[in-house]
Amino acid sequence: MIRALYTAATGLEAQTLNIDVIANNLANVSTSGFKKSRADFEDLLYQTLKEPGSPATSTTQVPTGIQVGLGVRPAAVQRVFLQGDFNQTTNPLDVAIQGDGFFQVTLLDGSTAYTRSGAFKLDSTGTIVTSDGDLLTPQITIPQGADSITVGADGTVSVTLPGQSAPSQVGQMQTARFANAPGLRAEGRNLFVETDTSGSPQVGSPGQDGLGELAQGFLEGSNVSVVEELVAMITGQRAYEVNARAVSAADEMLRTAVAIGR
Amino acid sequence: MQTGIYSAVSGGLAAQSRLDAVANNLANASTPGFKAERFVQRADVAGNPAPRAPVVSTSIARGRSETDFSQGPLEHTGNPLDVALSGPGFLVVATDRGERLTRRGNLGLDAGGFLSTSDGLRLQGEGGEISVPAGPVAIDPDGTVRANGQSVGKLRVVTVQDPAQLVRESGTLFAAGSQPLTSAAAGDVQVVQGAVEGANVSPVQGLVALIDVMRGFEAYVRAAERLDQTTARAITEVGRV
Repeated sequence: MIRALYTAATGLEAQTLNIDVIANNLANVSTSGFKKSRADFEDLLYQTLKEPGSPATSTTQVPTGIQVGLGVRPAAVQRVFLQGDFNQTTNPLDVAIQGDGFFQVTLLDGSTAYTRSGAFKLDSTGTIVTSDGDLLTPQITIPQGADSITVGADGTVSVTLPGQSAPSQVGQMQTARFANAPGLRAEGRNLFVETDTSGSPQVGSPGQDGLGELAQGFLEGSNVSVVEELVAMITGQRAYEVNARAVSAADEMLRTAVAIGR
Repeated sequence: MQTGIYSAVSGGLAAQSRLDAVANNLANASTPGFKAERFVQRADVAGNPAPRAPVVSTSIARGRSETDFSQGPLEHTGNPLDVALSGPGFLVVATDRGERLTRRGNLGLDAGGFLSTSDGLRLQGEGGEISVPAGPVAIDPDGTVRANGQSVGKLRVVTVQDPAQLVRESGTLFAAGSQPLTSAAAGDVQVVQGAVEGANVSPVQGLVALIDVMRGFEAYVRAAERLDQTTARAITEVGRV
């Protein structure tokens, strides 16, 4: 009886985490380059009161034993790196990755972070930065007075300077990919950092070695599907409700037991 | 003494075990690959009543837990490394304690690039662990894993002769014990990519079971109380002169 109370409580906690993850997905439905997460659960310990297959007599066996499960626990909050939708913006510094790969960004402390959000800007010196002002790596500087900026599918950045008919190349965007992208740690601000389980980054030119090509004038939207999240929210909410009912059923039985002999 | 009171109490204890099982099922309503457990009550007759003996045998409710291995619903996720088994069978993972069976197919790659569960247990293929190079992954219905169009291994899908004897372990795993693992017959089970198998727990049945258990427990307790009252009256009234 007391067991059931605690078992149901683990269910309530698990569904709370489930709703937390769904709420974060929905909050980021319009965040460019956002990748949705999913809470994964697994069952908790089993208390084995009688082992299945243990001998019942010298010649027969117990066909099924008695095992009591003690609830559920979160196994992982897994990030799902499916491609998001492409939104056309026609802004020359909006770049989307079609397929595998991350842009590399150098943070203030000199460390490298990775992002799928390609909403780039220029800083006061003409260097390409993210919306937060972090430098794109390798660094690319657009000369003053450049007429138009072109980003090729392979990451070549070229500009047309006034008075020149042919565009001149000013840099090359590179992307990185990981053996196990879901193993990256999310830092917020659309940034991810490398961990032991993500593997080390394989840096290369877009369109080569399995890295996705770039699309200029597009932004990758989030890969959150509102309908899917709403359905998950409804099932999560109902699962919370039935677990709460299990708590009250256990409570009711305790009340009955306590009332014996009154 | 009234022997019936022991029968009533054993019924109450069995109701508690049933509640424990129902609570565990409901707690795992969102656990991929989870299989519902059922506490099955049965009557045990204590003693060996002789024919025509004026003794009423005492029935004691005891029970055993069973696992419901029926198929859970396939939930579409679109994630290329999610697999669901459609049909009877299990995936095989390697643990410190040996090989374990599971139907939890939300897979990923570990740091070494091997196919593994979210607990980091490596999946066993027919030719050992499956290393998946970066690139698009396709998993065929027969379990063949292809990366960039090249076959890199085949998921081992097995069955056991008597699933009832599998021992449940934490992490949606089952231990086969001494039962041999046999490869699932082709056609019996299909590996579905981009979906996970949800828990085969029905919240509606769970709620009904909760009410049933709760009221059943109340009835056992009332019965015990009545039997106690009878004994009390026998003690206080029968001997009164």
